[in-house]
Amino acid sequence: MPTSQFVRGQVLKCLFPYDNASDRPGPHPHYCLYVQDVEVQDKRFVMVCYGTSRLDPALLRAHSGMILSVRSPMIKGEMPGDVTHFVADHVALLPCNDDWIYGSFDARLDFVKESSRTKTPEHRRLYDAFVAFERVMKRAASDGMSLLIANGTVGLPPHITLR
Amino acid sequence: MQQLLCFAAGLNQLAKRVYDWVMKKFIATNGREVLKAVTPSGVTVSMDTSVPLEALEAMQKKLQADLSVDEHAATGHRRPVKKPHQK
Repeated sequence: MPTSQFVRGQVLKCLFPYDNASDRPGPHPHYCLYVQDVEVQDKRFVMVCYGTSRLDPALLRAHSGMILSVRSPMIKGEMPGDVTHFVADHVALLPCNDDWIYGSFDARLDFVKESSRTKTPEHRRLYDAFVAFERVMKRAASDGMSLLIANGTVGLPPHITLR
Repeated sequence: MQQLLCFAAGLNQLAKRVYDWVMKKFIATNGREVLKAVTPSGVTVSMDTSVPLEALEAMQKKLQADLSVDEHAATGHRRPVKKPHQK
C-alpha cells in the first residue's frame, strides 16, 4: 500500500465503489485519477475520480463536458485498455488500504510532469485539457465534500424530516 | 382525521424517497459499507463509511485551498497578504 505522498496526475487502480452493478460477481477494479489526499489520525485518505475504458452514449449524456480521455501511450504505467476516460463529477473518498487500492499498481499521466509537458503537440494539448479538467474535478470533489459534511455520515439532510 | 393521516404518510414516503435519492448506503463488492450522495449540481460522491468527519473536513480545506490558488493564478491577482497588526 502506498504510504508516500501521491503525485499530481497519478492513476490509481482501485475498487471504485459503485452500486449499479451489484449483480456482477467479485470486485471490479477501475483506473482512477488522483484528486487529493489527507492524513488524519495517522491514516491516509485519498479522493479519486472515476475512470473507465468504456465510453458509451449513456456515460457521454450523463457527464457531457466532464470527461478527459487519455490514450494509454500517454500514461506511464501498464494500462489495460487503449483509452481511459476519467469522469470529473464522479468522485470517491477512500481509505488508503488494501480493501480499496492496489498498492502494486503504479501509473501516471505522462504529460503532467513539467519536463514532459512540451514533448509533443499532443502532450501540450493534453496538459492544457488536464489543467481545466483538474479544476472541474476539484470543484466537484469540493461540492461533494460540502454535502457529506452538511449531512454527516448517517442520517437525513438537515432540511428533511421523516416524521 | 383519516385524510390527515394519509397525507402525513404520503409526506413521509416522499421524504424517504428524497432521502434515498440524495443519500444512499450500500455494501460494495469488497464488503465495505459505502455512502453515496448526489449533489444538486449532479456530482456523485461516494465514501467508505469508516472515513472520519475530520478527514472530510481536512479534505475540503485542501480542495478549497487548491481552488483558491488556481483562481489567483488564473486571474493574476495576488492573494491579499495579512499584515501582522491586522486581525
